[in-house]
Amino acid sequence: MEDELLFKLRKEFDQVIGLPELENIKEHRIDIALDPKNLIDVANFLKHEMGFTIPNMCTGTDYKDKMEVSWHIGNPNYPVLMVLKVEIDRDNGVVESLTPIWEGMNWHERETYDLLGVKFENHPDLRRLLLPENWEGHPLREDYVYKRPVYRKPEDF
Amino acid sequence: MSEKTEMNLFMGPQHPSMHGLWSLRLTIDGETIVGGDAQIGYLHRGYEKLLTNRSYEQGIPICDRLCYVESHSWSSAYTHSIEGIYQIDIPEKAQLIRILTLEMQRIASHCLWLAAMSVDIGALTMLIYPMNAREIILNMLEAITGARMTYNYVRIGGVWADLPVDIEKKMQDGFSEFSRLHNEFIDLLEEAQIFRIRTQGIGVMSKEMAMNYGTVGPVARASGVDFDVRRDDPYWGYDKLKFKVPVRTEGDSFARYRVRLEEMQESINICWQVWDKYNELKATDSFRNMDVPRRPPAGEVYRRIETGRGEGGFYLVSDGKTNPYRCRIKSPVFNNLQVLTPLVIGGKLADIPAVMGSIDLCVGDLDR
Repeated sequence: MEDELLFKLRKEFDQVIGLPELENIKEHRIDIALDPKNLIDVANFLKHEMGFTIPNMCTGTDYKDKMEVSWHIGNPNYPVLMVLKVEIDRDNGVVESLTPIWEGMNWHERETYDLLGVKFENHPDLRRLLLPENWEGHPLREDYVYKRPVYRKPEDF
Repeated sequence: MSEKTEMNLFMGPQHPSMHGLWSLRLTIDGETIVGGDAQIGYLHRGYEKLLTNRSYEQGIPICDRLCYVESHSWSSAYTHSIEGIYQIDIPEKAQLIRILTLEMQRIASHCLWLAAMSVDIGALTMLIYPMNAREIILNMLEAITGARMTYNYVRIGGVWADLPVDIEKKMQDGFSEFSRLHNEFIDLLEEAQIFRIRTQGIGVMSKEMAMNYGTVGPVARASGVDFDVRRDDPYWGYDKLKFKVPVRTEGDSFARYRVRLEEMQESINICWQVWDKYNELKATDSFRNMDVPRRPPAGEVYRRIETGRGEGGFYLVSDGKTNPYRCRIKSPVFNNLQVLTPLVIGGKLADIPAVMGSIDLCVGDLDR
């Protein structure tokens, strides 16, 4: 099952994306290391040619020197999860949004923006999701310093 | 009359069926909904940061509090991912005990959902019946784990205690009583015309929409997406058990209700199969793998289990320390709630509780 999928991807995107060797694939997760400029092509191919129609989740990890954004995509017929991984600049990194392709990535990308500060281009509605609109900073970044919120006293009302 | 007849309506904690922890900003034209925006985050407790600041063992009881309705599923999901990071296996007895307790937890979770959904659409008698049935399951879980709501029963490498000696009697009595109550739910709800009118054909979600929005669990299966993590990506020996995965194609609120009711019966079936397999093991077999290294190797893992609401899992990144470097919780409700706004647009205001109830919200694991 994984070998077929890898073969298809190799045939289409050889030399462009980083694919794992078959013996390194554990627990049906295929990690694809991508250059941001190929992201949309690979995502469209996965959805329309390979049947990866279920957006599973989008998340980011702050590695102090770089920011890694990953999208997990599922398939209703296989247990395989495709993991699209993109490394971007940690501070001003911008990455293409996959919400136009999989509608279900909408809130996941909003959350990644909210907690990690990753900006998604062409996202239809990139607002904070979990934190209030006036929150400063992105709490899951490694350099985030927690400041106690200033509560209004009763006499301020 | 002016042309603009639209009105903004804030459907928030003041509405009895919104459970107080999230809100929906609606635009309505008369009784018809033309726009909406779900607002979540009121219960955001920073779980992902909380878990990365604690060691792996300390995280397990915290994950119990992710969702009080099915806390055992969440601590099991976290432990399952930790075992992936540590690269250890668990003994067969521990796997069977985990499946048994997880299926009981699924029944208990579905019972609470049934009570909540029925009350949302006005069937107030149905608040008591599923709660009564849930009590039976909670008594069994209490006998096994020692607690009623937050179990803290799983450990890295297994569980902390074997099944008690008198559990077979409790399961026989409990499940036969539960089956009787299960038939009563069906009689009470499906024989009633009002329940069918309020749920059939309401909030219809096509298969394409269910897949495109990434819905999981009973919500997706009611729309014809035939995917269940237990069967299609098996863990803990679910592949050795025989069970049906209820799938319906209507995609309306009634189908979502029906899928969950059938799942409850299927869970009882799984429990008895597990019990037979458990009896083939010796009493002296180990229920916990004690051979857990002090520190895990660096690496990352995403493992998922089928919780009562759908696929739940943990994405963990380890840098070799005793606490995770990054933790991301994949919540089933997070995916399922996204689809609510598109589902209710075009419908009537009074249909919102019927659609929302059938999605089975738990704001605890939605906001994390």
